[in-house]
Amino acid sequence: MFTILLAGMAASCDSYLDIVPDKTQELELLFERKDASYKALATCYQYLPQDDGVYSTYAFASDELTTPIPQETPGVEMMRGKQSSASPLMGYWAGHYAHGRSQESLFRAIRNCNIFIENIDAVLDMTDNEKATWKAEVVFLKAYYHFLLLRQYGPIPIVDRNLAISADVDEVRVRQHKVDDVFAYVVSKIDTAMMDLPERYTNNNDLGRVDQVIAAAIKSRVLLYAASPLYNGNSEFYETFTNAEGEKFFNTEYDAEKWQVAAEATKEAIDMALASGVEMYTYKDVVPGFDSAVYQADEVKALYDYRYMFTDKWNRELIWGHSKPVDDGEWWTLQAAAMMIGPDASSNYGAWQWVSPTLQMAERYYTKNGLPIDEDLTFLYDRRYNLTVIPPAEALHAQEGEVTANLHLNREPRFYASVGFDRGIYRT
Amino acid sequence: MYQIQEGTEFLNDPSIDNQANSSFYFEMIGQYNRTFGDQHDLGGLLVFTRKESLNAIAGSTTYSTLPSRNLGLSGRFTYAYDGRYLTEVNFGYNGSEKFAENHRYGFFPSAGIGWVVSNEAFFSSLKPIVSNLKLKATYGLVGNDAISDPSDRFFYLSDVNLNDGSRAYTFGEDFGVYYPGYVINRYPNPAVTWEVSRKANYGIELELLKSLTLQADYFTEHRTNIYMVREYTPLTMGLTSNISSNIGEAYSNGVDASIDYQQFFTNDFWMTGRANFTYATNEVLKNGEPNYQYDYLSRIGHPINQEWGLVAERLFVDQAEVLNSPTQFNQPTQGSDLAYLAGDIKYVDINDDGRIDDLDRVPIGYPTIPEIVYGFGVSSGYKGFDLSFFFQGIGRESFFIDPATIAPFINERNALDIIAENHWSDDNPDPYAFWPRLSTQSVQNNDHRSTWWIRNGSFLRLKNVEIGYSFPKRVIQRINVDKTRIYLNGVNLVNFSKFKLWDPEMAGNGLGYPTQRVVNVGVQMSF
Repeated sequence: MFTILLAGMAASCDSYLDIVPDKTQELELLFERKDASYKALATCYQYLPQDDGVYSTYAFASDELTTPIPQETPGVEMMRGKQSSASPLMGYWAGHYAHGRSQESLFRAIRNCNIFIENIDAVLDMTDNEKATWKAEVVFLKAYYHFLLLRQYGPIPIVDRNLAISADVDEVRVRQHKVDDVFAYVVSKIDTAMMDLPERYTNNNDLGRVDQVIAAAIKSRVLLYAASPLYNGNSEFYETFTNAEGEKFFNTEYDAEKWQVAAEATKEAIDMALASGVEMYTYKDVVPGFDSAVYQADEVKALYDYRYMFTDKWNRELIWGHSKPVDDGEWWTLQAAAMMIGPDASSNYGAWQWVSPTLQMAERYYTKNGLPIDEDLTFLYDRRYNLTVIPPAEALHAQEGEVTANLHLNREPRFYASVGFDRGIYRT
Repeated sequence: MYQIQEGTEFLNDPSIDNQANSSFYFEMIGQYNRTFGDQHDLGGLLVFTRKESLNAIAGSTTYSTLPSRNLGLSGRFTYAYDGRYLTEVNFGYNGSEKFAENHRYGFFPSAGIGWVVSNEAFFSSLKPIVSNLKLKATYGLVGNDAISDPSDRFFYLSDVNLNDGSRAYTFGEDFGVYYPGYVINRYPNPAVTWEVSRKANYGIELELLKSLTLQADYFTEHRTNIYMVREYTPLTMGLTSNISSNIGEAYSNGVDASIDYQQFFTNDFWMTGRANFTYATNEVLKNGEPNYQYDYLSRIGHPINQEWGLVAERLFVDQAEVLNSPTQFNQPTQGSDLAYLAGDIKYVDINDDGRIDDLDRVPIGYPTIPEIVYGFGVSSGYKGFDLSFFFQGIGRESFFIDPATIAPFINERNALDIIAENHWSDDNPDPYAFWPRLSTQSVQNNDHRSTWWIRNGSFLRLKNVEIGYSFPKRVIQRINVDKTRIYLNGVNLVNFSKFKLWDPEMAGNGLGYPTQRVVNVGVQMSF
C-alpha cells in the first residue's frame, strides 16, 4: 500500500503543483522586441529630475527666487531650515514627494540603466548598431545619475553592476566611494558612451535623446565641478569627513591641473557643438505689434534675444532640451507660476504670478552702463527705493508718465528681459 | 457582437467579470491498530491528501486567480506499553504550489511521550484521591506555507508592470513620441520556502476525587524562516519594491491551564465550575530591520505586537514655549492650518537633536494583543433555584485612544462628554487636560501615536449572570406543562477596569458602537 501511495504521489507531484502559465508579465519580455524595448529606454530617461515644477525645483532652495505659495515648496522649506535626516527634502537618494509631485530615488534610475545595459543585446529585431547607440545613451544616463547624486551627497557608492536579489546583508551594505573616484567614474562612463552615441539627434521625433554634443557638454560641466574650489582641495569643509578607515572622502589638496582638464573638455564640447550647428540664439519670429516700431533698436533686439533664448522651444542655442516637461497647463509648472497675471487673462493657462526674484537678485542686475548699482555714480543708489515719474527715455521699459521706483529705471537689458515690476512693460 | 482586440505578447491581468469558486479535496487513508499480548498497543496511520481551492474573483492579477494547491503525505505511529508509557511519532511531507520547484516540499516530523503515573503500581494507594495523573511532552516541527497574501504567492516569479503610465517618457519636438515605462512590483526569489516552527509542549493532567480536573501546559515555540521584508536593504540597491525572504525568527512561550469542577452534593444541590487561564508572550529574535541609528528603534527583543510611539510631556503652555521648543514634525508654528500652538501636545526630544520626528519614537506600553486571557464561572442549583455566572478578563494589554476618530467638530462630529468637560483652553490652560486645544480641523500634531493616548487595556467583566427558578412539578402539572422556569439574565453587567471613559473593548474609538449591556427576563415552558 505504501508503494501505491508513493507512486501515486510521485506521478502527480511535478505537474500538480506547477500551475503558473507561460508568458506572465516577466522582465525578459521587455527585451524580445524593439517595440517593448522602447519602454525600457523610456524608463531609463524618466528618472531625469523635473526641474520645471514648482514642487520639484531647486530654484527656491536658493536666495535667487522665492514664492509665497501657501503650500510651501520643499525649496522654501529648506530655506527655512527644515531639512532633516528623518524626512529629507528634495533628496535624490531616497527620492522625494511634495503636494502630488514626486521624484524617485536615482539609485532606482541607475538600477534600471544597468538592467537595460545587461539585456538590450537580447532584442531580436534591432541591428547591432542600433543596440550600441541605445546602450550608449543609457550608459551616459547612468553616468549622469551618478553625477547628480555626487553633486548632492559627495561620496556615494558607485553602482556599476546590479546586486543580485539574493545578496545577503553584508553584500548590500555597500561603501561610499571617494569623491575623486566618483568623478573619474562618471567621466570614464561618459567617454565610453561618446564612442557609440550619434553625433547629433536632428530628427524631430528624437529630440530630447542624448547625443555626442550633449554628452560632451555634460562632461565639461562635470569636470568644471571637479576643478571648482568646492570639490578641489576643500580642506575648509571636508578635512575631517572620513570613512571608517579614516581616509578622507574629499581631496583636500588643491590641484590646479584640474582646471586645465576642465578647460580642454569645455573647448572640445564647444567645438563639437558648433560643428553640429549649435549657435548663439537670435530672435527670428515676428515681433509683436506693440514692439514693431522700436524693434530695430539694438537694445530691444538684445532684450528679445535674451528673453526668448530661454523660452523658444528647441532653439539653436539649446544643447540638451528636456522633452518631458511638466504637462502643459498643469498649475505647478514653474513657467506658469513665474508669469505675471495679465489684467484680462483667464486663469486657464495659469499665469499665477507666484514666483519672484528676491530683492537681492533684483539689485544684482547691472545699471545701463554695465556696472553694479552701488558702483555706478550716475545711478541713484541711495534713493533707489524712492518713487519717480517715468521719463520718456524709459518708454521701452516702463509706462511713461507713471510712477515707479528708481530701482526699476536705468538698468541693463537683462533686467528688463527677466524681471517684471510695477508700471513696467513685461513682454511675455 | 464580439470585438476583436489586438493581442499582447504577454498575459494581461484578467478582467474579473466571471465569478467562480471551487474546491477539491482528495484523501486516502491507511490505518493499522493492534494489541499484542495485552500490553503492547501498536498503531499506524498514513494519509495522503490533495487539495485545491480556486477563487476566480480573489483579485485582479493573473496570479490571484490561479488555484492554491497542496499535496501531503502524513503519518502517525503510536506505541503504548501497559497503558502507562505512551510514545508517538508523526511526520508530514507537504508540498505547496507557492514555491519554486526545488523548494516545494517540506518535511515536518514530531514526537511525543507520555507517562500515566496513576496507572503505576506504586500509585495505587493514592488512587482514591488522585484518580488520574498524566505527564506528557511533545516536540516537533510544523510547516506553514500561507506566509503571504494570495496575490503574492509565486515567490520564484517576478511581477512586472510592462505598461506603467506613471513612468512614461516622451521625446520629440512636441513631446509627442510617448512610451510608457515599466516597473518591477516584485523581484523573483526562488529561495523562498516553508516557514518552520519548532514547538515543544510539556503538560500535566490531574484529576482529584473524580470531581476536579486540572490541565496545565507549558509551551514554547521557535518560529524560523518567517517571510519578512528585508528592510535592511539600502536604497542604494535601487529596488522598486521591497524584497522579502525567509529571514525572520521569533520565540514565544507561555502557560495554558484550565480547571473543571463538578460536584453533586445532594440530589437537590449541585455545582459546576470552570476556570481557564492563558499567558503567552513572544519576542522578535531576528527580522530584516536596518542598522538603526538609535538602539531603541530596534524591534529585536520586543514582543511582536509592541507599539512604538512618542513620549508626550504635556501640553504647550503658551506660544513662547512652542517657539522655544524643538520643532515637531517640521510643522509651522504659526500662520497655517497645520500649525501647532499653545495647548497642543509637547513631545520629548528623545535623541536630543532639536527636532521631534519618527526617530524619537520608543517602545511604549504593553503589546496591543493581551498577554493574559482568563475566565472563570460557576453554575449551581439548589432545589428549584439555579444561579450561574461567568467572568472574563484580559491583562497586560495596551490600546491607544484614536484622537482622529473622536476629535469633535470635524465632519460635524459631536464632542464626547470628557472632551467637553476637560479640554485645554484659554480659560482652562491645564497642561494635563484630557483633550488638547480644540480645533475645527484635525491637528496632526496631536494625532501621533504617543504616551498621551496610551491606556491600559486590562479589564475583568461579568460576562454572563443568570438566576432562574423552576416551578415544582406538582404545581405545574395542573396546567399540563412539563417544565416551567422563569429566569433573569444579564450580559455584560459589570466591568472592572482602570479605564473608565468607555468600554475598553471598544479600544481607541470612543464613539464606536459600544459593547451592549443586555438584561433579559423570560419564561421557559415545555409541553
